[in-house]
Amino acid sequence: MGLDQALNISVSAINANRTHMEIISSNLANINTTRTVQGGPYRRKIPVFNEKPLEFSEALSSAEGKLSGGIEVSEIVDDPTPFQKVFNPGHPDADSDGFVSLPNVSMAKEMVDMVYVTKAYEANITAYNATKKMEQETLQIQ
Amino acid sequence: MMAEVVEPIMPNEMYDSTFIRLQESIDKATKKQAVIAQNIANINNPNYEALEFDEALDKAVKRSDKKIVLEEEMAALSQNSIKHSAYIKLLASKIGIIHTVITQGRK
Repeated sequence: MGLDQALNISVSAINANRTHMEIISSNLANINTTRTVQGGPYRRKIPVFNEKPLEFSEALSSAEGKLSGGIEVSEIVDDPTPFQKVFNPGHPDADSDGFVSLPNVSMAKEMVDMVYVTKAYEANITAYNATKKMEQETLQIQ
Repeated sequence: MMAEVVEPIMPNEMYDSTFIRLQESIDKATKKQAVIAQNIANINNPNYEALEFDEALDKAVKRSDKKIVLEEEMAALSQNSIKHSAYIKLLASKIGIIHTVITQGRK
């Protein structure tokens, strides 16, 4: 209820942004990986965000209408765009024409995503701190 | 936790209408904070429809423009925070007045 709900929403967003950051790290780390457990080159991972439903007890007591429980990463999907082909006949994973399939990870794209995630993370920390300050002030009524 | 039914408090000699209005304002600022937090939480979610807090209905409703601008949300956040802070200070001073009235009689 009330401020607790605001805090929970901010925390859920901080968590979602951290997961997104982990995915970006994974994409950047595997920018040249040509062998994966599933076979073939690494595929870029994308997080899918969706609104977190309210917990049952919260939904019963919530008078705030359309408010949900914040945000969550519901699944992590593979980017279906084709792999980059680079001519490198000496590479052990080159095909018969001498082309190597490299992951469909674009350095620039990941860097731009990283800026978005960092800013969103900061914004949610600010929201969390503002709510925390409100809660502390409420306790000072006497 | 079940939904609480709160009886409206009638103003009396000790708790005047200012007192009750301050309590309501604090309650509204608290609810609005959750709505702003939700908008900021979904800043990178492309399918999210922005919400706003309807003061008259006392609940969150879908916003007509549906798009979130981070700067506007942050401004709303600090505005709401400052308002809440002001209401708390006013309420505390109202309580202080009552405290003075009920304790100074023995002098």
